Amino acid sequence: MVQEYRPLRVYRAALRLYPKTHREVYGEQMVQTLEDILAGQPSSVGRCMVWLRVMCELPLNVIEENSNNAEGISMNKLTKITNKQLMYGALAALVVCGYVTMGVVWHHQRNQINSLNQYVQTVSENQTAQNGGGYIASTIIPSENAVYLPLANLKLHATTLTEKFVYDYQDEHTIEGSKKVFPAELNVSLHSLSTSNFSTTKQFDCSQVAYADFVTPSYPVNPRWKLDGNVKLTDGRTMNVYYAPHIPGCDQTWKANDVDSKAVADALLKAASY
Amino acid sequence: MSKEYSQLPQVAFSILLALSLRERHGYEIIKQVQEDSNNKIILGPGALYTSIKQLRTRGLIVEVSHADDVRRRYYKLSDAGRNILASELEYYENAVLLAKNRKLLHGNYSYGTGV
Repeated sequence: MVQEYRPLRVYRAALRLYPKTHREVYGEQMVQTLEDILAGQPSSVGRCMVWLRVMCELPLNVIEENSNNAEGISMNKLTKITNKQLMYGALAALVVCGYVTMGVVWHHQRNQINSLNQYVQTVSENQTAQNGGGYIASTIIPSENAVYLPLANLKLHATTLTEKFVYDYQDEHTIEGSKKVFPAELNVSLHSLSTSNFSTTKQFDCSQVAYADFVTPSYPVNPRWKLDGNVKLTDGRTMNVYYAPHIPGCDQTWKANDVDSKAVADALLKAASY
Repeated sequence: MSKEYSQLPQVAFSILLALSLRERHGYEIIKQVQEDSNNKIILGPGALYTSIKQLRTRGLIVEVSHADDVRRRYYKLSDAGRNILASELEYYENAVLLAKNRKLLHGNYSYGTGV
């Protein structure tokens, strides 16, 4: 059996918006006609134009058909779609597509946060059980005025960074029950609690941290974090640095006094690798 | 007996005109309408079948099947459709004749100027 061209399957699915009687009589013919129109286009640009027109026409035509279905068919009803209607249809389609895309992205990011929180709690429990778990402690090098994170292979010059912060580094890792591979990441918490202490999404959202990962393209686990920049380390890695901006309404417990996460992120950008 | 003047919508009229030569399936109708209107009317499947449904409901076109092309449905004018098309064309013919007599065509709009 020949597999149907995927966009045609989408169009076929969209025909469900039409009244059942119309769909049953004309649905297959509409798909066949669209297939013929697309086959008659010599270039991909032409096919794109056809799709654009179809996507603009569809919502208006669906409304008209459903209206006809409710009121009975009238020959005097407008059957030609004007350019103005097409423009409104296109705008409406764009707005709907935008909202759907934003929703999908937000849902994806929210899932990541929830996964991380689940992981954080699990690690927290393990930490309690194992008295320390997998998190690293920082090593201060007084002679160099630097914070050394051996597992991360990073030496952070301590102009802004101090041993008072909580440095958490995790190598590339997965979460139980999820196929997603999280990149190696460094969290510098600007309060006395590390990410392992978070128990709610709100706490995680509100935490004041500087964050770095080592992948390209970078994708922060918290969509609220802002990209501060990236730096090429001497061992070939690229470190992407984010900071958590102040979020109105967040509990100030999760923010250390007089510490600016942007300044810490700037300091992280000056990190040198061993 | 005067013929019925139906005030067909432009798309419906164009479809009847496209079917005046021979029976056609959906894509052929779209192409013919586009050609007849000098690319001014470009129908999508949705608008096409909305009009086709209305024309069928009024009995102006009928569906015919082709044994050698079972995937597509063909449409042709019914007798009523041919009559309506003829009366529409007669109306337009009169309108064009009138416009010529009043020199309204080709930008020669002299009405309302007082000259």
